[in-house]
Amino acid sequence: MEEGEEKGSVFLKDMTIRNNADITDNRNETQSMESLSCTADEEITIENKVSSECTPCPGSHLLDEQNPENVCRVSPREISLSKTESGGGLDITREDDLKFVLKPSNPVDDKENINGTVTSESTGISTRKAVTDDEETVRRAREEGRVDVIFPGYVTQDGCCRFVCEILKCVLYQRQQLPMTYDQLVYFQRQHQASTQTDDAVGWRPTKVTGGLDWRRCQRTLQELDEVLGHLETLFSLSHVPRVLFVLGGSVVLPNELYEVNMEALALEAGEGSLRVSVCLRQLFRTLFVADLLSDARPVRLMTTTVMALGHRDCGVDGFRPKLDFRVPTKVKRQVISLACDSSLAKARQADVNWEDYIWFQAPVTIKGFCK
Amino acid sequence: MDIVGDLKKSPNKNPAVNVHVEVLVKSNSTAKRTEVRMYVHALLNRHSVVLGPYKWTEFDEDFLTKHVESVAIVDVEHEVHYFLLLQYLSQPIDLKSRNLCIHIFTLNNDGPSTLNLEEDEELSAANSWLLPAAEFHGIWESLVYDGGIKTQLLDYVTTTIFFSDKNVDSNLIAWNRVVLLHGPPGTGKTSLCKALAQKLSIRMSNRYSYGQFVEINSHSLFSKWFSESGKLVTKMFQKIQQLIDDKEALVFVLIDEVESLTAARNAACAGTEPSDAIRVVNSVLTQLDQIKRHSNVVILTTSNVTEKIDLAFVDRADIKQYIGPPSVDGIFNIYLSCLEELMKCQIVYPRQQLFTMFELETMGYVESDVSFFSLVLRDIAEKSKGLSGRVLRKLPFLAHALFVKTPTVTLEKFLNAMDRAVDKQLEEKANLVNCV
Repeated sequence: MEEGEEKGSVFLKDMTIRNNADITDNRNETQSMESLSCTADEEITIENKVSSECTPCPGSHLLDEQNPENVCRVSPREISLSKTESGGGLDITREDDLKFVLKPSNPVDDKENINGTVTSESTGISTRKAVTDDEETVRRAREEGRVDVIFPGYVTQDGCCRFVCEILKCVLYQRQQLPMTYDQLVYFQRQHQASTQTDDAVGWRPTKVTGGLDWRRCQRTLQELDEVLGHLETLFSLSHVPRVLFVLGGSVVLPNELYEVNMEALALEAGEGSLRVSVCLRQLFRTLFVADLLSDARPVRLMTTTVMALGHRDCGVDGFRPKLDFRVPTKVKRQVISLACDSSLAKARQADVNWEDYIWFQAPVTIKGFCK
Repeated sequence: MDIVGDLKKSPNKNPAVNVHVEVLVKSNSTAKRTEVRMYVHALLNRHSVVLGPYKWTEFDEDFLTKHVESVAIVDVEHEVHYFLLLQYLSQPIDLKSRNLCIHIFTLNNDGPSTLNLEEDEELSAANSWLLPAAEFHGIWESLVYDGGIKTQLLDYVTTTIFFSDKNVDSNLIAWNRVVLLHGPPGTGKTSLCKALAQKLSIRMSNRYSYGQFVEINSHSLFSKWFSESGKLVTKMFQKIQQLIDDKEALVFVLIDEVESLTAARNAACAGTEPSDAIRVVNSVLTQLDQIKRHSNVVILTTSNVTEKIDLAFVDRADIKQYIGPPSVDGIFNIYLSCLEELMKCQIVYPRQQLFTMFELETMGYVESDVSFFSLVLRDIAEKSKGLSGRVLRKLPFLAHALFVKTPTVTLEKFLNAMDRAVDKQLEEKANLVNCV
């Protein structure tokens, strides 16, 4: 346990640095946005973890009771999080959050506090209303297998792509197909590569080295995932994509688990008038974790994940394989993450879409999960 | 256009015979099916007269070149064989006078997916393919049998589904949807099952939106725990039931080497088999009875040793088809297709015309410059009688490996090599028997 703690905290510090570097390298956003968005993004990843694994929202309480192991698994990371944050002096409110989290206290109390901080930060709705909203979200997720996220403005096509990619990463991690989050894996992978490159002269090395991870499998899975993400980016640049499916296990017609990201009701707009991606992501993941859609106390077997996306017939995308005969499986329970914009914005744009011209595309690579 | 529609027409004293046209659409094509159908109709209107089965792979139209891999007129040879044998050469098929059944399909490139029964079990209990599968493409054409076995099987399953569609009372007229293929090893029983499933999923594409082919690993049904085997069988069939529940799917269940499952009961009576094995057989039989009630399932089984199969099982099979080693005609056809392939790949070069058995027959086996090689091939075919289909298919490979050893070879030399390879095979076979 202590070892893990140690590692976690070191890793997170490095993450901060890496994240910054990454963003400056890759992001195509404007210079002025960069510093803003990078802090915002970071907050999101941290907040995700906090709310996913230890925010005392009703859903996770349930989980805790059923499966104490889960909490154990998470706690070192969470502690290390607080260390890093206080050390780095990132954000005081966040640290406060964590105190709430770590303090074993009355759950109702906690909920109010957490919700209070988050809502006052992001949306500014009164605390009471947020609580009832959250309860509604949890109820829906549990009974209908559906989470609704309503953005208060327009979003960009790029944004949609980011949403889908982040949800995919999150689904893979939460459904136990990846042993760590995507970002952690990438970081460890790079570190591992750097260390093996320096002492290359040794020659043959056992595949299982530090951390007990099988690096070859790790690399393969990451490669597959990156490939899928790349393909998704291409598809989003070529076509409007109203729906995306993540098909886990089994076959495409009879999967074990099925997740849908539904973006039919999103109002798209490029440029100035649209919401910032980071703000949307934060709202999206907050809702997602409050709803507790993805956690399941039972251990999950390793599966292959196939990504299907609805796209325009004539978009001319290369990598994806068109599946004209594909029908969304009805025999399996489908968990829907529905993204929408305020109804006033969305209605004007719905009329001109001809759904006949939208067909399912299957990503050319499947992602095989791995654990250790 | 769909098969059910065509069957409905037949009582209306419409003498037009169905001609099946299979249109393989490229896997990256996004064209609407109705559009493809339109263009194929136009193509067939332009070339409305064909001699026997024919396959277009190159088109004079951009749309077809872009979206369609091949258009094939298939399975007319049996008809030619039975009804028009004598007038075959003089009477080509006029497509305009026939009912055209155009089947449009794309191949699924994903490999098999596995069905696991137990959570921690690495070994999969069954493999399932989504049909039409790329892996099974071309098997049907490569199988050569005498006496229209392939067509009979096809007709059998078509009738099965037709009866179910018409809601024929199965208590009055019983049919079981179970096919048993038996015969010596290497005659292509398993391949035939796969090909049949592929063919039917294409033929029925108007009725069922996709096909599923489930191959059960029968050994995986025996548990290491006493008394658990029966439950495994039940679990397996539950999984299959899930597939069947989707009424859009046509499900084929293949139980290969079925005697390993059903041979047990007699042995158990003799005391050489634990009683657990009996439970497996009983469980399989009752489960089969369960799933055969559904109209969208066909159970295909194969066996090498028919005597050993449980009588109760044999009784359940509607068709018990013997698949024997190929006749001389069959062997000749197999060799012919092998040589065509080698000439296509330019391993046998230069290309030379070879006649089919039918053409040789009409020429009266007269030896001439053009028919010389064909007659040599026929002699080799006659000599290879008794070899199994599996051996025949690998013979050209063996001939090249053992006696050719150069990148390209003339047909004459290659036939010589094949002749020697056949000798060697027969010798090996004789040795094997002597040892035993």
